[in-house]
Amino acid sequence: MAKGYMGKLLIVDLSNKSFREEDISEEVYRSYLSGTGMGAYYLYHHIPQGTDPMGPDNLLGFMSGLLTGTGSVMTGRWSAVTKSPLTGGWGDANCGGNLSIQIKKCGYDGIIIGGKSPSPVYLFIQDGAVSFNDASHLWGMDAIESERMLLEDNKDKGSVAAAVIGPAGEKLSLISGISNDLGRYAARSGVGAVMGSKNLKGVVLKGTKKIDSDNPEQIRAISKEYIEKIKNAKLPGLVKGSMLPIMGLLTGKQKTYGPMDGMMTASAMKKWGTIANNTMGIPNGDNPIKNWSGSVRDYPWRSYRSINPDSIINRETKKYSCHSCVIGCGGICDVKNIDAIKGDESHKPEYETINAFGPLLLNKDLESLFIINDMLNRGGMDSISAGNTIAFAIECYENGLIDKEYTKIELHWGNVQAIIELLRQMIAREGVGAVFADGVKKAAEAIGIESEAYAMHVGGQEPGMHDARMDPILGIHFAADPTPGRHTVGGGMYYNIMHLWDYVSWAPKVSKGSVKADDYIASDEIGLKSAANACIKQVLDGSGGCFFALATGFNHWRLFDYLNAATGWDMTPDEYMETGRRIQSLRQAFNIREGIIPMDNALNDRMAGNPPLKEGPLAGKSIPIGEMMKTHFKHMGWDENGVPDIEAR
Amino acid sequence: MKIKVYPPPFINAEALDEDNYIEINEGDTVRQIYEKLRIPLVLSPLVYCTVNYKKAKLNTPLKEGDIVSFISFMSGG
Repeated sequence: MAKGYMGKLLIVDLSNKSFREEDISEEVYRSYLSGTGMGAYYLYHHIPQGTDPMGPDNLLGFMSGLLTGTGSVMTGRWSAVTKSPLTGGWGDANCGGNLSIQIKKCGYDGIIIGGKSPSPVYLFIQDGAVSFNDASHLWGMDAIESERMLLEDNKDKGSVAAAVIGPAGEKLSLISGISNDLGRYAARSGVGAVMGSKNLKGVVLKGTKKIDSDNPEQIRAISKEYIEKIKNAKLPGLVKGSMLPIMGLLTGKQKTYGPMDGMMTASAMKKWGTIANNTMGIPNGDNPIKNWSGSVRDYPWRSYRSINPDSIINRETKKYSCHSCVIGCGGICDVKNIDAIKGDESHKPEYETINAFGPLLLNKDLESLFIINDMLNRGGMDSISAGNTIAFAIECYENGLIDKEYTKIELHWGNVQAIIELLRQMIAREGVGAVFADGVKKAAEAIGIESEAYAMHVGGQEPGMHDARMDPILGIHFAADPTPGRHTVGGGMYYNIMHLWDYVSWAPKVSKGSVKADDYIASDEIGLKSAANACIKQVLDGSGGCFFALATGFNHWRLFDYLNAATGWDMTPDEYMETGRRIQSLRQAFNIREGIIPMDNALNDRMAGNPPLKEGPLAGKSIPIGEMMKTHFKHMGWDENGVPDIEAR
Repeated sequence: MKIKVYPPPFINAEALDEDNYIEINEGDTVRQIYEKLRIPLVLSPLVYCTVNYKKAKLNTPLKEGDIVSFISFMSGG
């Protein structure tokens, strides 16, 4: 009997409305875990080389995690996996909420969907049965209303979860995502467009299967210890959001660093969620400003005080937690007095959304950020990609590459109405929005070669809201990950907090007094750290684990012990890291097979600091990104061009 | 006696060894850690501090093997 995992995938073909179950051997689970790893294994072997990402031969997987539902905590994440129409290579996107547990309760570790329906459909999956249902009445409806309607229509069937696309996905925007839990997003890689290309509006899940584990007592004991620590991680009431810039400033001025205690950072996540970084990262250069060309001088305190996280949680009426989460970084906000938002409540904006539509665009209007957040959640568009794209549009406009005759909108920095209007047009793919609806790279191709200097993307995907000139290891992952531009693979600070070196024999130890300037050199130590980040991230995503659990450190959140207790495998941390390396190598091999040249994904000059900024906390900072990528590839066991030998793994 | 300390970002942590350990004496409390790290005592209401992941006060006693953690935020990545 399978332990931890369910032992099979559900394979659905929309073209002929058929489905089947496919058993997966234990050997495959040991080699690739579940989640993204299992998705990579299956899709690598079943998507033919050269497949059109928007065609019926592309597959779209909804993958749960190996630890989801086992009694472990912080393990309720799911991943969408596919061939990305945005990058042309491997695509995945990770999300929380309550979908992952329902995938497993239906009896599967993943649901793989191929083919194309001739008309809009939604799937209803209950334990072993699949029904194909007309979704014409939902087509054109926003993601939140669609999900509400699907949940309402199926409420007689008990507790259900649903994943849907909004109008952006229907209109095949390459920067569209998939929503669940009324506005949580698997946003990256253009996964929403793939779902839209299949005329698949939604997937509704209702399962009753039991999820077994090998040693439930041990899982409970690990969880209990972690929950107790998290419960105690509570900031004093005297600590206010207005103090965060000072903390950021102090952190930024440090010339050295050492190991950190993630349980202390968890206290900030509990209080504010990801928006704790809204103002903390501006004085130290972490938050990109003015399309990655500016600094705190362009968006000073009198601007960024408007996005003080306290001003946001003042609207928070309740905390929101994903399945099995004990931190609760999410929130539901009261937006009754914001006329432009439909309904009384909305998900609390995440940091990435705030920064991509705030400092990145020199927008200091907090109310507009709530409106934009709701538009993105309803429209089904990736906030990171959309914000970067509008920043690109504004810079093109300000520099005369496009004008009002072309845009019909006065696209100036900080022009709130213009930003909202362009976003509306992008989601609806109408007017000039059609030029920008597919992200920065496509828009730059349309506007012309002169615009490329303003086009902030990596391998076609727009980067997350953290600046590699502040954290060069983050820059390696932006450039070298098979899904480029991803901010949730790892970084220097995450490495310092994970304490991997206490478990993994080859992970470099971080000692007090480590010199920050050394992070800007393409050394073997940095390459080993980035390789460790890449490997553990794949173990995390194979487990359904939350990145913010990783960020509390493995000295607290005992991932390796959880995995062994769930499966009974008795694998060592080094062996799990090899599993992570195997998954990462397969993701990379997928890209190589599609003709992607990894070194082409090096950061562009602006993001790498060539030339460096002249003022602000990042003044003078640049990254030897090409050398760093090669060092990373070396420590991943790949050749110097980033080509893995997957047969050897 | 040795204890492990995760210091706040704004102090000079010279008193700690490279693995963040520090020698303490029998009867020492959190107050002595503030003094050794030169954290102004006046900041103590704002400086969130735990001993073994339970909220600590200046008079919280310390013993061999304790872990003392001070407020630190993550900004980046």
